[in-house]
This record gives sequence, C-alpha cells and structure tokens, in this order.
Amino acid sequence: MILKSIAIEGFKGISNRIELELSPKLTVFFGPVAYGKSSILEAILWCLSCNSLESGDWRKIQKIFEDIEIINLRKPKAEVKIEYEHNGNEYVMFAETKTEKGYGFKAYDSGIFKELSVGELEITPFVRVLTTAQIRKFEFSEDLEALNVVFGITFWKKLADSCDKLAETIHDKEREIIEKVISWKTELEKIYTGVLKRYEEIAEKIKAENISLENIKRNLKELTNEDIDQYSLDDLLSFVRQMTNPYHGKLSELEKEIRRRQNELEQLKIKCNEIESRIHKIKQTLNEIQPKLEELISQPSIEILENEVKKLEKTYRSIVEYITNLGEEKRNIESEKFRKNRELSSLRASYNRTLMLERELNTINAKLREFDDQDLDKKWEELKNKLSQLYEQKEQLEEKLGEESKIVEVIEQAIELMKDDVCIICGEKGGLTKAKERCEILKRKKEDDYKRLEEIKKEIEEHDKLLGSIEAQIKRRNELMNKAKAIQQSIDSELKRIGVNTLNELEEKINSIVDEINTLDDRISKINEEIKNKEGEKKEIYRKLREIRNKIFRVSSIRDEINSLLGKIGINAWNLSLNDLQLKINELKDELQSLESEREILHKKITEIEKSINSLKDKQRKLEIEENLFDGKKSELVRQISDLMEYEEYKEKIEELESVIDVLLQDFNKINQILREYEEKRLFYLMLSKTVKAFMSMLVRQKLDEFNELVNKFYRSLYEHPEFKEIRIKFDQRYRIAVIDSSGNEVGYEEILNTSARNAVRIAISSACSYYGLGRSEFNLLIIDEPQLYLDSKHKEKFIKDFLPLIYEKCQVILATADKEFWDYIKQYKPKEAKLYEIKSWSLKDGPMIEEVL
Amino acid sequence: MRYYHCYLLKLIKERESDQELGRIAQDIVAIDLKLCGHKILEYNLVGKSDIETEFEGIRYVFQVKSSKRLSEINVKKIKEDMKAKVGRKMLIFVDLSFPVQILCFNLDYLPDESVIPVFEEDNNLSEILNRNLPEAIRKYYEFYNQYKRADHARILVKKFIGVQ
Repeated sequence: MILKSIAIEGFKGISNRIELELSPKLTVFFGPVAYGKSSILEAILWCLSCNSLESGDWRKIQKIFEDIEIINLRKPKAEVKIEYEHNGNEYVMFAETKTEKGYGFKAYDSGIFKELSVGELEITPFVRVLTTAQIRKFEFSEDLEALNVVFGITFWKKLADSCDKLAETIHDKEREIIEKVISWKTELEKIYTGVLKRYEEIAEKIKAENISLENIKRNLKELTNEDIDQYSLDDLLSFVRQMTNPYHGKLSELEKEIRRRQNELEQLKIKCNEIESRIHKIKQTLNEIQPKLEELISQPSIEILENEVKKLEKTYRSIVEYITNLGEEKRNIESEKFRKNRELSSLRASYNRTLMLERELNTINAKLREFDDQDLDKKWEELKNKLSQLYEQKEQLEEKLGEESKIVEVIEQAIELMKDDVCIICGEKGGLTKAKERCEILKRKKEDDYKRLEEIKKEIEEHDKLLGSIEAQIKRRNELMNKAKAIQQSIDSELKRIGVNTLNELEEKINSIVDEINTLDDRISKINEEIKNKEGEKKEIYRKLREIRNKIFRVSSIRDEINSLLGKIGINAWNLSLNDLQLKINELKDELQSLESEREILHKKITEIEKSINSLKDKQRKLEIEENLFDGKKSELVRQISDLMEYEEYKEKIEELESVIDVLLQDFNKINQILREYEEKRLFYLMLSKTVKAFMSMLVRQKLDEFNELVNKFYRSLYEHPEFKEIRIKFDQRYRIAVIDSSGNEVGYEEILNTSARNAVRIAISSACSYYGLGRSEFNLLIIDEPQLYLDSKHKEKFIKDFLPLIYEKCQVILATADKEFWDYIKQYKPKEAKLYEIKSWSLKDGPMIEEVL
Repeated sequence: MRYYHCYLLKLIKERESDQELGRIAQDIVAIDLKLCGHKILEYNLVGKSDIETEFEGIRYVFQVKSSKRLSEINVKKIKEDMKAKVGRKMLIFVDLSFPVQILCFNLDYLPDESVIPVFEEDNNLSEILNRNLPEAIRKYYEFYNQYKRADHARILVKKFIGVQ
C-alpha cells in the first residue's frame, strides 16, 4: 500500500487547502520552524488514525494527539484527504472534524485500510510522527508493545489479559462474599456471646446467693399463711407482687389521729397567740397613755383657752381697722403731695425754660445793637457805587488797549514790509524811522495803560472782598433778628399757658406751691408715728394669741393621741370627757387581768396535747420499721424469683440460638460450596492465561531473531557507537531492550546509552517495525519529524546516505526537517522518485506557501 | 451448649492482640491433635513447620494458619517453606470467625494460586479435629487462666502436648 497524495485544509497551522503528491519512496518537507511542517505530518497521521478506528473510539485520538487543537483558528472544520494505491487499485480515505480537539470525527475510506492496519491503534507506534525532542524521556514501552502487532500476537495477548482480568474479578467477588459472611458471623458471635455472658452472670449470682425454688417458698411462708407448695415461678411472682403490707392500714389510722391532734394543737396555739397579742397591745397602750393623761390634767381646759382667744381677736381686729383708716388718710395726703410736686416740677421747668430764652434773647439783642452801630446798609451802598465806577473804567481801558494793540500790530507789519526808510503807505522818506518811533511811543503808552488796568483789577478785587464781607454781616444780622422775634413769641406763649404775665409772677406761684407741699409733709409724719404705735400694740396681741393657740393645739393633740391609742385596741373615746376617759382606762386594766388568767389555762392544754402527739409519733416510727422490713423481704423475693426466671429463660434462649446457629451453619456451608465453585473457575482462568502466555512467548521467539537482525542492520547504518555496536530485543512476558558491548556482554539499556544513541535505537526499532510491516506486509510507512536532532554532520550524512536507502527500498518514508545541512544532504543523495518540498513562508491567514524542489 | 467453646475462645481473643492469635490457634490445634490420638513429635513456635506428628505409622507435617480471612493465605509460599520436610504435608486452617472450625488440606494437592483452599480437603481429619475442638478449647481456656503468660509455652509443651 502506497500513499499517493494528500489534501489538507483547516488542520492546525494549515488554513488554506494544500494538495501535495507523495513519493512512494521518500518525501521530505523543509522549512524553518513554525512553518507548518509538523502540521502536514500530523494531518497524515490523524487521517490514518481516524480511518483505522471506529468513529466512537475518540479516546485513542485523545491519547495520540494529547489534546492538541486540531482545527485551525480561522476555519470552522479540519479535513484531510489521502489518496492511496493498493494492489494496483486507487482508493481515497478522508477524515473531517468540527470539534476543536478532533474527538468527534467523520471518516470515510473507499478501500480496505482498516483491514491493513488491523483495525486497531497498534499501528500508530510505527507510523507515529516521531518527534525526536520527545525521545529524551524515552518511552519505549509503548513502541515495544507495538511489536505485538508486528508479530501478530495481539489476539493472544488480549486473551491472556482477559483471563487475568476475569480471575481478578472472580477474586474480588470471592473477597466480597467472604467479607459479607464474616460480618454475619461476627454479628452472630456478638449475639451468642452476649446471651451467654448474661447467662453466666445470672448463674453466678444464683449460685452465690443460693437461690432456689425451695428457699423462696420457705422464705415466703414466713410472710404469709397461704398454701404455696404447688405454685410455679410465675404463680409465685404474681402472688408476691399482689401481697399487701399489713402494717400499711395501721399506719394510716395512726397518721390520721396524729393529724387530728396536730390540728387541735394548732387551733389552741392560734387562740393563745391572739390573747398574747391582746395583752401585749393593752399593756403597751396603758404605758403610753399614762404620762399623756397626767399632762392633760395639768393643763387648763380648751374652753377657757378658746374664750381668751376670742377676746384677744376682737381687740386685734379693732387695732387693725384703726391702722387701716390711718393708712387711707396718709395715702390721700400723699396723693395730694404727689400732685403738688408734679405741678411744681412743671412750673419749675417752665420757669427755667423761660429764663433761658430770655437770656438768649438778651444776647441776640446785644449783638443786633452792635450791627446798628456799624451802619452796614450805607457802607454797602457806597461800595456798590465805587465798584460800578471801577468796572466802567476797566472796560474803557480794555477797549483802549485793544485799539492800541491793533495799531501797533499794523505798524509792526508795515515796518516788516518797509526796506528803505520810506513809508509804504504814503511813500514818505524817513517813514520807517517815524513809524518805529511812533510804534515805540504806542508801546510805552500801551504798557502804561496795561499797568493802570492791573491796578483797577486789584482794586475791583479788594472791593469785591469787602462787599462780600459786608453782605455776610447783613445776612447774619437779619438771621439774628428773626431768631429774637421767634424767642419772644415762645416766651409769651409759655407765660400765657401758665396763666401769668411775667416771670416774677411765675416765681411767686412756685413759692406758694412749695409751702403747701411742706404742710402736707408734716401731716404725713404725724400719721406715720400714730401707725407705728398701733402696730406695736397689734404685734403684742398677736404674740399672746399665738401662745394660747399653741396651748390649745398641744392639749387637743394629747387628747387625739390618747384617743388614737385607745382606738387601736378597739375603744372609742372621742366624745368622752376627761373623767369618763379615766373610767375607761380603769376598765381596760381589769380586762388585762382576765386575759392573763385565760392565757395560763391555754398553755396547760397545749402542753398536754403535745405530749400525746409525741407518743403517737413513736408508735408510728415503730410501725414504719415493720412495714419497711416487710417490703424489703417482698422485694427480695420478687428479685430472686425474677433472677430464677431469667436464668431459666436464658437457658431456653441459648438452646434456641444454638438451633438457629446450626441452621445458619448449613447455609454458610452452602456459601462455601459456591465459593469453591468460584475458586475453581478462577484457577481455570489463571491456568488459561498462563498457557496463552507461554504460547505467545513461543510465537514471539520464533520471529524475534529475524526482527533483531533487521533492527541491528538499521542501527548500524544509522549510528556508529564506539562501544555498543549491537542491540537486542528480548521477550519474557514483556519486551525489553538489551545493549551488547564490544565483548559480546549484555549490559543495561537506559543507564548506558547517551541521548543520540537512544534516539538512533528508537528510530531503528520504529523503522524496523515499519519495514517488517504487519503480518500481511502490505502497509509499510515511516514518518519522522526532525530525525536529524542529536546527530552531528557525519551522522546526518550517514542517515541520508546509508540508512534511508535501506528503508525506502520497501517502506514509504515521509520526513520533515528545519536543518539546512540535513536538507542539503537530502538533495545530494535523494533517490530519483523522491519528492522534496520547501516551505517558503507561512502566515496565519494563508498557511504555508509550499514549493516543490525539482 | 454446643458452642460454649466459642464463647471461651471469644473471652481469650478479647484479652489478646491479633498477633498472638496465631500462637493460640497453634496451641489449640496441638491439644486437639493430641486428643485425636496423634503422637506429637515436634512443636515449633518458629521455623518452617509448626507441628510434626505420627498417627497410625504415618508422619504428618502441619503448618497451622489462622485468620478470619481465608484469602490471605499464600499457598505457594507455604509450599516453598515446607519443601524440605518429610511426611504428609498438611495445612491446617483455623477459621477464627464464629463458630470456630478447623479445615485440613493436603498441601501436595493444593494449587499454588489457590487463595481459598477448596481442593483436596482432608474431610476425615477435619471432622475428627472439629469433633474434639470444643474439648481442646476448654482445656486451653483452663490452662490459659491457670498459668502466667511467661510460663505458657513451657507448661503447654510439658503438660498438655507432651512432646516425645
């Protein structure tokens, strides 16, 4: 079988579809790392794997591809198509997945690849993409297990494994049954020993206490007169339980009598206590009343005291009335005085105000007189005339100065124009000189006029100032005149309001009011003195009143206290006279004597009853002891009968239990029989497994020599080790590798070989598997990724030159490399039919750009 | 009380550790063999065989095993241990689970892989030993309570087994 071509799309690093032809001998892919070489090799392996498996067998895919993501990031699915040739016919196999890790896949094969690959995954070790970087771990066990397929012993291996598994399952079952039986037995032992233990305990007790039916009956006869000789244990137990204690009734009667006496005693004690309490109260009341009664007798009676109070109250009221009248009179005078004082204050205020206004008026009048002396109106008139004149002069002078200035200006302009001493107006000779002279004269005159004008201006200014001052004085004078007029009007209106004409009249009026006020003051002083005297009298009467009232209060409170004390012991003394009260107290003393004698009698009665109760209680205690003794004997008999019954019961129980155990033992024996049958089967399977394994060993040994020769041939063509020239695969239930040194001795494997040698051994074994093929030798394929790793230049060349021709002679080889030197050797030593592809570039979008090297 | 001996054995087991149960089983088997008329030739607490006897002119070599779990017996190893011994090689299994019983096997007919001794059980010997087992346990219980632990081996061999 030869793979002819491959088409890949959406698989790992290959996004766009690529279609490549494969050589029947050697196909090599070259390109830098991460350019998609491994994706191509893995796609071939994946398609082959999917077509060698059942679609549901995704776990094997998981095992081969170790959970890598199969689908390209930019594609929804991955698909690989392989065209292959077998026995001159062409077929197509196809695999597709939409699940990221390729667990769910769809495969189709138009040929019989599943048969060629034995329909099992065992094919994978020798068509595996050998990633040499992974050899470091050197997991040979899987590679070596593939030899089972090569040597055609997978069926026998499965048979042996199944037998072992069945034997183990039976063993588990046996253990399970045994565990169950043991747990039942343990439970049974627990029950049996528990019952026996209790039986032993009771037996020991019965023996120790000498319990027997005869003894029980004898003891029982001591307590009862019944005929119990024919009674069984059950009868005895119910008889004893029903037995009543004869002491019980006697005790009840006695208890009733004691209770009756105790009630009687209780009643007497209550009565005695009541008498005691009454005696105590009367004694206490008498003790408290006695001193109070003596004090009451020593005081005057309340009636006398109350009459005296009435008299004093009358006197007190008349004094108070007199003082009130005086107070009324005093208030009237004071009111009059207040009114006069207010009038006086008002008049004084008016007088002061009018006096002040008159003084102010006099001052203004004095100032006005000063203004009259200055004759201000005349001065103002004169200054006004003078200023008019000066203004007139100033205007004339200014006009004159203006004219002169114009003339001078004209003359100066003319002088400017005159070149010779000739007048330009009249043509007169010496005109210029004259003009200049005339101009000089005019200028001097102008200066004089100007000085005169300045003087007039100064004069005007001075006169203006003077006029302003006089006008201010006139204004001041007018203001003062108006003010004086207003003050005079105020004075007149004030005097008119008071009803006098002059200030003197006002003064006289004030003096008369002052006299009246002094008279009123005298009268008030006299009334005050009278009031003071009467107040003294009032206080004295009040003091006396208070003293008498205190006495009344004291007498009535003593009386109240006495009444209250008597009330506490049930005597109403509120309306009694003092004599009646004394009689009542004497009656109380008599009652006290009679109560004391009654108390004595009661005490005697109580002592008698107490004595009788004590004697009854002694009797009761004796009866109780008798009763307890009877109950104790009864309980003991019940316990002994129960123990004896339990003993008999346990005896029966043990017999029953042993019968059950006998039956159970028969069942256990049946289970043991089943176990024996299981064991027979288990031993049969073990025997079968042993036999199959021996057969397998025989088959393998027959082929192993031939295979070892092939492995060594490849190893030597691949690698030159200075010491270890030979390797050998051995089989003893499991495969193992032995390394032979130059002396022919067998040494260990992993501990002796270096990494590159291990790599070579692995490639040699895998190549031998591919070369040897399956039993039918119809499918020989070797795919290796980066086989040059760990190889030096010499070995790289040796690999291409010596090793590969041996392989592709019978086996289709597909390689991938990133090594330029290795690639050059391939190009140098390639066979004619080889297909070499160089990957020029790679992108996530387009995938690898592949060119065939011709 | 047909299973009273089980109760006695339980009392002993409660007082002893699991390691001691093997020795106790061996002691009981030796007393039992003696009751069955075997002449005890050797009684070993250590070594390849446990008990060697002679009965009706035949020499027996016994390996005594006791466990609650039958499946723990390694027949192959026992056979290896007894390889050098001369006589009828027997495996006596004392099943300590309730009710205690003895199973006798002829080792020569017992498969190596056998974890449950099912083949070639010596029913005759098993039956005789089981018949005398209650008596053997009673005797051992008395002995067990009568003597100190340190004297057990010596007195048992001298007084009860009587090694020739």
